[in-house]
Amino acid sequence: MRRALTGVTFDLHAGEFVALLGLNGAGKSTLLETLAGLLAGYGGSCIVQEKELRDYARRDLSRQVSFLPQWQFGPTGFSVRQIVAMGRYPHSAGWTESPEDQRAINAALEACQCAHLADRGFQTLSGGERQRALLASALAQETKILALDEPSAHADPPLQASLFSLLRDRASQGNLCIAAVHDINLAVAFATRVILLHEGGVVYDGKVDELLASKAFAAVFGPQITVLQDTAGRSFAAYSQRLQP
Amino acid sequence: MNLRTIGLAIVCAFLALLLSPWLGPEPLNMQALLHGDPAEWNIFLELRVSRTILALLAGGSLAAAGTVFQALLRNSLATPYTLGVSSGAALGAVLAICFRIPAISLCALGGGLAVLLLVLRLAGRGAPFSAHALILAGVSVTSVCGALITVLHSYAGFSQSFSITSWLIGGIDALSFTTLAWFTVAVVPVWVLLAWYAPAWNLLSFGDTWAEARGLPVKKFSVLGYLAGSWLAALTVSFTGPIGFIGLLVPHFVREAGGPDHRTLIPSATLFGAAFLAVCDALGRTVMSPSDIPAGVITAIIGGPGLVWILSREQKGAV
Repeated sequence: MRRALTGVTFDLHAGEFVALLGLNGAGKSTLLETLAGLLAGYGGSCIVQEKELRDYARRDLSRQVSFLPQWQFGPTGFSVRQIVAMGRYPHSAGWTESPEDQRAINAALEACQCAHLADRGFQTLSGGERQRALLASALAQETKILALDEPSAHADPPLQASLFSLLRDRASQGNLCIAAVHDINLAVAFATRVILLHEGGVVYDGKVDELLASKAFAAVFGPQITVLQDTAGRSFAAYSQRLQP
Repeated sequence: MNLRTIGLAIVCAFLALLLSPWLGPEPLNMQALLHGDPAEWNIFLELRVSRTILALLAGGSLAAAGTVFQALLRNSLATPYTLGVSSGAALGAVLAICFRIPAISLCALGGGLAVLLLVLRLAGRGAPFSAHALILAGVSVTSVCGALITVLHSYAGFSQSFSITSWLIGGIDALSFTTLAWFTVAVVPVWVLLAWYAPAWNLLSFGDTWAEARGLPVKKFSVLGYLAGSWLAALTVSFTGPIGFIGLLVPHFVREAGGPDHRTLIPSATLFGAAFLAVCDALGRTVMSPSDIPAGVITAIIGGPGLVWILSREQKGAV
């Protein structure tokens, strides 16, 4: 069996919005799934709120960590509201929604700008709308830690900015958001910290501002990605091929 | 939750319970019943009411099991028989018929449960209880059981061969009220259990990762669902033989009418399944009276076109 991650060590703190960057197969999803308690077979130690991850009861862990998966498929017929309500399972699991559940569901729908989609069938939505509904389900879980696998997938640029702005706000309210991201500029614009994974290991863990100038960034993404500066002197990543005459 | 669909299902099951006993090859003599004629009461209670109760219990059990299996396997073509429970029960019954063991139902139940344990063991070797592994193991075991039944059938005598064929078609026969009481005690609490855990089946219908991330102990609930559904299927098949289409068709119909939420789906499908089999059995004993067409034949005649209709609707919806 191939090891997806080796020798990965870091601390994550409340208030951080951490962008996980890396090429396909670098181990981003494995790291997030481990953090969400979905992969029990890890070696070493993974401590969440001063308790080893594998010592948590499933429901207790889901009150601490919510996870947004990559996929967007499910059985037909479920409405957006029903999917968001599933996020309340760790808190209620009953047949009926308590007033507290309804408050959390409505707040999550509002936060993800999908209150107007609440009664629509999930399968009838566009990719970006589905992503918002799935994120709302994760938010309805009301956890201190959000582990999100490509939360901006299928979203158009304004929606990407809106979703990442929301995540940064969540982080600033004392939560921890950690998200696998493929758009380097999006990560640079919104995250407070970047962890760059390469071949199952951490090659960069630090400030967003210093990422683009780091050797690790050049080693992983160069020569396809070039770092440029805009007129205000801010660095951004661009495709090298686009620059050639 | 769609209370209208649940309400409609309750009404249908209640009407089936009320009306089905009055249908049969010969109309009941109301005058004789009102005057307490023991022969007429005997026909009414021992034949008609008993059959109706068995049909309600069997139909409800097959529909409930089918609904849960479709959620767990995330496959809309899953049936209570997908894991091979029916073929195991059939093999048990055929063995009992061939070797003249009187307890056919008990042998069928034993066969069904033995096959379930075998399938769970085979599927649990790799990734524990993955839908793909379970379906594969179920199909493999079903094929082997089918082959063994064919071998036994070909060596059976004339009367045994007739019994085997009759059993394999599946139908509703009158049972004693004591047996029905045991059957009720064995299946109704499982219906309630499945309905109680409806939120869990909702989560599992989206996949193991989704369910686990929302705090559901996936393995525990998967095993519970498979055991409960298989128990319902094995017990039902041991009394009625393998009646097809109910576990496949009824959940589809109810999903179309009331949506995919299992808080609606489980109770509604159970009650509609109960009503559907009671109606099929009543039709079977009336349409070609005095011949009694097995309920399994009626469900297949209705179920085949019904499934095509559902598929065409789903295809239209997808376009």
